[in-house]
Amino acid sequence: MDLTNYILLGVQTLFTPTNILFCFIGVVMGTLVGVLPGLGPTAAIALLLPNTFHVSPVSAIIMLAGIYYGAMYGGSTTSILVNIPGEAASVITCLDGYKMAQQGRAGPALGIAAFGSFIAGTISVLGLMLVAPPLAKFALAFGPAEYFSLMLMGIVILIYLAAGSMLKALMMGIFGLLLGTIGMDAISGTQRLTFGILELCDGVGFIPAIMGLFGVAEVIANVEQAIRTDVITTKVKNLLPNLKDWKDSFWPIIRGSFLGFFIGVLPGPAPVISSFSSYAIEKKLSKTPEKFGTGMIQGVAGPESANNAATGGAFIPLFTLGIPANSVIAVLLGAFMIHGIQPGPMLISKYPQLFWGTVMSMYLGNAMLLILNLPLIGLWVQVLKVPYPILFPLILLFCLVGVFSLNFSQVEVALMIGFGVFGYLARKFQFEMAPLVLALVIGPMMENSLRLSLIISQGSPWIFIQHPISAAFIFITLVLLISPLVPWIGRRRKKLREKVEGEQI
Amino acid sequence: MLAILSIFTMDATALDFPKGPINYWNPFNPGGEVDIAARAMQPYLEKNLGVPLVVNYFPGAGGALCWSKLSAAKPDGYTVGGFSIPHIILQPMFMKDVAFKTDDFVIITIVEYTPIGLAVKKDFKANSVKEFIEYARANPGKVNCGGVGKFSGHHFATLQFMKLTGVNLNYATFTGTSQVQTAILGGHIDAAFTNSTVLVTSRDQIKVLAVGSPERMSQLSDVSTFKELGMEFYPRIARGVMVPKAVPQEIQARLEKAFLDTISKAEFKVKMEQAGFVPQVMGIAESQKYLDAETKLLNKLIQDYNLLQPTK
Amino acid sequence: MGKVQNQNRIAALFFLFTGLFFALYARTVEIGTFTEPGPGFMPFFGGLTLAGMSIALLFGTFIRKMTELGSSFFPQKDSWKRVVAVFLALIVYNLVLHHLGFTLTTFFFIFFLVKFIFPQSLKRTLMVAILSALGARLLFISFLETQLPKGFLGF
Repeated sequence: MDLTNYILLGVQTLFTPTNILFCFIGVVMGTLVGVLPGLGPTAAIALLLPNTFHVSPVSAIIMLAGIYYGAMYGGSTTSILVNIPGEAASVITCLDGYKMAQQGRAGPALGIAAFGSFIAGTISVLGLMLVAPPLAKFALAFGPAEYFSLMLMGIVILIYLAAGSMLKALMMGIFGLLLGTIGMDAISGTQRLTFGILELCDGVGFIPAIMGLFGVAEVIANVEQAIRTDVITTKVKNLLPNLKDWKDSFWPIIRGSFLGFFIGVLPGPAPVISSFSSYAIEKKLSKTPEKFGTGMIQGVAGPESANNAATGGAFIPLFTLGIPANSVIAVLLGAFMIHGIQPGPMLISKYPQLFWGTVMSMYLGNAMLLILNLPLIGLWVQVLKVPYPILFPLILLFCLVGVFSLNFSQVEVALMIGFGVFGYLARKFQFEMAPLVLALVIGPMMENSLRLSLIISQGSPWIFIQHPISAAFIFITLVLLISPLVPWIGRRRKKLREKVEGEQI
Repeated sequence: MLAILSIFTMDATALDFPKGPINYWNPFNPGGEVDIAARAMQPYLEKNLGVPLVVNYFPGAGGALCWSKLSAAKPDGYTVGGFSIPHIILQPMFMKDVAFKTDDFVIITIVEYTPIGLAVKKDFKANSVKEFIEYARANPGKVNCGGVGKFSGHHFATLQFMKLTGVNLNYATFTGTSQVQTAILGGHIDAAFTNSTVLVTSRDQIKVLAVGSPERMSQLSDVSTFKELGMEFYPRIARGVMVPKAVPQEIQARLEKAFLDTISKAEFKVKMEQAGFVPQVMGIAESQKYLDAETKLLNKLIQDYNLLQPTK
Repeated sequence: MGKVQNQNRIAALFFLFTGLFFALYARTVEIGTFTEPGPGFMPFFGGLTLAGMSIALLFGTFIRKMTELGSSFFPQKDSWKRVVAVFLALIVYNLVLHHLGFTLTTFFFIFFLVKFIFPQSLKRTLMVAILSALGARLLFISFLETQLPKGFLGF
């Protein structure tokens, strides 16, 4: 069959010393930037890009792709250890992952994140191999109307992430949406709430927000307490997930992988959406949903698998249509063009060794990452043992550098500090951070899609129902909104019944 | 003539520039068109100038962030920036709080441009510009035409087209080229004025009706130009390198020489063409002429459409 | 009156104010109509929604009985000093970075925090501060080639 020939071609292309080396460099750099909060894969790729000019395009792409999914792996490490997400997609991992670390279970959390990511990555590469062209068509069916409905559904899903009061979570979400409106409005060109600060033109960046809300605020909240005497001790044998952990995580990983892969095909903030959708699904399917947020391993396994699978899915529009799904892939696209490779539907047939070589390198890369990350778990756990009085300044330093190195802007660092104050107070007042950040990320896209849809339909709101995919999302959104009320109604009726019965007796 | 030339070369050798690395400020994200051009030039420039070229990225506000910084940068020739026309003309006019003016800079060179072309989705009823105009006349305000950004090259191309043909299109603002691409491939919009790079990449999945280059593009040899159809319509986004105005003349000349030597190389041109660009070789004087002509054209369009209303 | 009720009230007031602020601001940019939303559309309706929810939250604090939270706002009496100190350190870092350069600023920052928040011995503090500053410099500037500011001393 053709497929086996292609696989052989890919393996042949991959297993040269240069390519294996480049794969390795890519994943190591990727993990490094993923672990360092703020520094994103784009920075690493831009850094290594000149070094790729003197080698073949295949080697270049292999390395750059490695950076991309390596960064996804790395991002979860800081989420679990110090409650600082490496990027927006890792925000969800903080919810239960950090709690697990606080309970001395950082090892299993990191381990299941690594294994889950590996399995998800492998599944998504399989998907990339087998169903790339048809899936690309699926991605094209998503226009502004579909995006709006998807994002709207996403915002509503945020309610399900709430461990505490839903009303408060929703309020944080709306606040996040409002913050997302700051900046230059793309459609009309008007400045909103930028107060003449040029840096705000592109809106409130989510990296300063994340660093502030999760990093700075967490540190300050800890600093409030007296010297922590509860040093987290972990015995060596607890570094890996145990059998129960595996049993609990199996289905979340599978579900997360498929969910993430399909969502990943859609251009846009796919890893973010897939990670919190996975969390919401796991919470809904769980027999103990109220325990989510206290250290449930499913809350790490699902989302971590989902966001890794999404990275595999993101390559599909690149290879099949020449369309970048996000800014990182856009750099890869640029790399193609610099090396004289014409992107587009003909890419796979014109450059089979490029495509299959990259695909095979993803398998290898995922395996390398797993092998790299597992022993590192022991190392990371040691980091936790550093006495907090010394650890916390370092954490703050990472936050500062992370934000500053983005755009060399003092404004953004100031924003981070501002978010830090807000996050600190929010914690004290029992408001959750995750809905705000996630709304901040998907809010602008949702608003743009809404307005664009209405421009295209010349003002008719029926466009959202006329498009079948969009209508499906709207339907699910309505169901999600109504369903929390159903048990409430049920409870009221039950109470009423009990009251009546009580009076009768 | 020879005397002038010899003075020029004498200056170049006596000049103590460059002594160290030169910073190239990219106003957009890595992988974008400016980056591609920069990376393609990098090896030749480094050889020509004898120093490393360090590419820094300062994306934000559609380029305004970088250009505001550039206008305040030290004018010693060690900082150069990429630019796009018409962005540097339009932004100071339309964006409040922008800290640069178009004449804060001297353009050293224009390296390439991407002509903007008109494409329609695969199953659109029109197969030629003529049919498109007829259809649009019959359905005023109903034909959706996508582009990136307001007050941008795409937006003005649409406006100019509407003025030339008298039709009324519905301009839909997207936030990125790839989004326009996805939308038109998926049939969510009817038409788009978009960069030649997109037209080349997706040419089999959309119908490219015409392109705004003066002659037919080699990558799109079966697509007519607007000129052939009788329209004096050359929409495009031109890109190149500029420096703060106060950079001394000799340094400007040295930079100009380095860039011109680079971009006149055949291999460079071929690389750009493959990617869908139309390479140019314009030095300081020619670039200034181009800038002035574009400014005049844009000002006229702004007047015609009364675009400079105070935004509420 | 429980602590939680007070907290919720303060928070509700904050969000109410914020929501109204956005809604009022939206009126200065075009709100548009439902069929053609302008730049003010989202801020306006979002702001109103937020304001509405804040009122609901406020309402709830009067209706339901909340459990008492015995503790005061800060867990220890001198907690607030640490909190303020850390915030000040961050602000100063941001302001001073361009003047002193990355390495020096980092050194002082780490030194200050290690010595004064949870006081460590001078020897330890110096060691940590120097190692951190140099280590960070190696990692970010030398290895990752991030453009971090040089101060007036040139490094």
